[in-house]
Amino acid sequence: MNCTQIRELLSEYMDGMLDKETTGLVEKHLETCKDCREELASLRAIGEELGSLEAVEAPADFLKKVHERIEQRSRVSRVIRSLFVPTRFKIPFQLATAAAMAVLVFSLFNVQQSEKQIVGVPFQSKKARTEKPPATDSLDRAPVERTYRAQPTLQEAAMPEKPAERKPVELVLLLKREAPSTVHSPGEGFEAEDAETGAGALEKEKPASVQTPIGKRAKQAAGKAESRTSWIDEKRQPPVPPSGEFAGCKDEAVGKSSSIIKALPMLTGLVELEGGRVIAEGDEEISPPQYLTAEIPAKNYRSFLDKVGRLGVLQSSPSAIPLGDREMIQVRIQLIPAP
Amino acid sequence: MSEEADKESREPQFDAALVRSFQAGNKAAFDKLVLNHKDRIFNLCFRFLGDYQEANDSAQEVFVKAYRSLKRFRFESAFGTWLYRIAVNTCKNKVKSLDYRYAEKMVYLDNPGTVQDAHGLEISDETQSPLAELEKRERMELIQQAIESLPPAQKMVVILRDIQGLSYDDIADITGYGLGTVKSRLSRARLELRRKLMKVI
Repeated sequence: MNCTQIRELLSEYMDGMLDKETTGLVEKHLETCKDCREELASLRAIGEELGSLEAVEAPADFLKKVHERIEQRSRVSRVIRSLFVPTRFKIPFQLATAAAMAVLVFSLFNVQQSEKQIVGVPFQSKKARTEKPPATDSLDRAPVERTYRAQPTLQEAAMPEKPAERKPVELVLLLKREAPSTVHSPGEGFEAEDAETGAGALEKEKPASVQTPIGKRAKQAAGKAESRTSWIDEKRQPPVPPSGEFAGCKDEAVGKSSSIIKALPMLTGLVELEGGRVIAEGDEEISPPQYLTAEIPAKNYRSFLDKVGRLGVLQSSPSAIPLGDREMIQVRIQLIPAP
Repeated sequence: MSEEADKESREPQFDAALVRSFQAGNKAAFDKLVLNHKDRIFNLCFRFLGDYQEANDSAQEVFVKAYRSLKRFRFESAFGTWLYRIAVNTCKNKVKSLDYRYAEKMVYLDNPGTVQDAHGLEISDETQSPLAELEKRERMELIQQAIESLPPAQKMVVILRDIQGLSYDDIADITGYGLGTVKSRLSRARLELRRKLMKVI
């Protein structure tokens, strides 16, 4: 062993931590090496010096200070606990709500933004690109413009995003059978006419203007002052109406028209009750069946459906809320009179 | 010496009894534990940190931490060893926290008063001549400076071994180093101290 290796062992040798064999090796080396003996001597001196360093004692008030700090800390922790324990329950909820709102708002903005970008801007630029060259080159502008005016509508029709976004929820409300006496006091003639019109309209091609006055009369006859209500062409009815409807039976016809007339204001009331608003009623003065388009706050959507369900049988799946996070839900309710 | 060793061998049992008493609800038992260990812990902190006020602060913190954790003490090691472990970690954190090293070193050099405070407590031997006293004080200061200049791991091991007089096994237990690491760090620390203090000793 050389001196460097021995010196690394001197510390342990000094403390008697080496095994017998290594101790023998170190001692053998020390016998012959004066430098290493000196090294050992000075290491021992250092050890003694360190050991003889007088202990620095804690001040007299040490225990008192420890007590003060223990009390202080328990006081502080009590205050902290009192501050944070309630918030441990409150803050997460508030934060969660805030975060949820932020995500909601952000996603809504994002949807609108992306819609604008995807549907609006590139579409227009594309249109501009295709439109410009022929517009400048062509001598005869009118037909060119006509063709290009037609183009966007075709493209828009091909674009499903935009209409899908705005499309209201389609609901069909099959109204309950009305007790005739409660609703109507009209003359028989009107009812008969009405029934005939309803049956006739199944041929689908009757002009709306012919039917409108009849619808108006029927409405007045029902004693409803609702000026907004109007009839819609029968072709809008579901594909397979109950066969009884075509029979031209007076009572059925009476129930049919009057049930719608009665249901409309009730529906309007329901919409307003749930904090929504009626956008449109019916389809431009056409005869039955009736449509009602309304906006309902999303949060009240379900309870609205529940209440509407009481007026009759709701067909279609009302549980599906499109784009779950929207604030207002547009509903288009088709009123089908009771058979 | 044998009397002291005897006292040391009995100490863990006293400590354990006091800890049990404290755990049973006797808060006064903790005071006895503080009084039994405060000087050793204080000395360790002072040697490691090199500043009397910082040592006082750290030593107090060690006992405050011990007080809070003592209810969960499981007697897996001696109370003294457990307390040393807290002290070692507290001192290491103290050095890490802030720019303690720099801040305190500046005070230390600019204002020897803090050092005098500390050593004023140590030197109470009035039989020595003023010159011998001055020499001793100077030497102590140099030794302390040499200790402080060591890397923290080496410094802690050499303090625990040569100043606190703990066994290798205890040091391994307290610091969490393996026995081999303790040996090599101690060896390196001692050689480094010898190199630094060659002229003095």
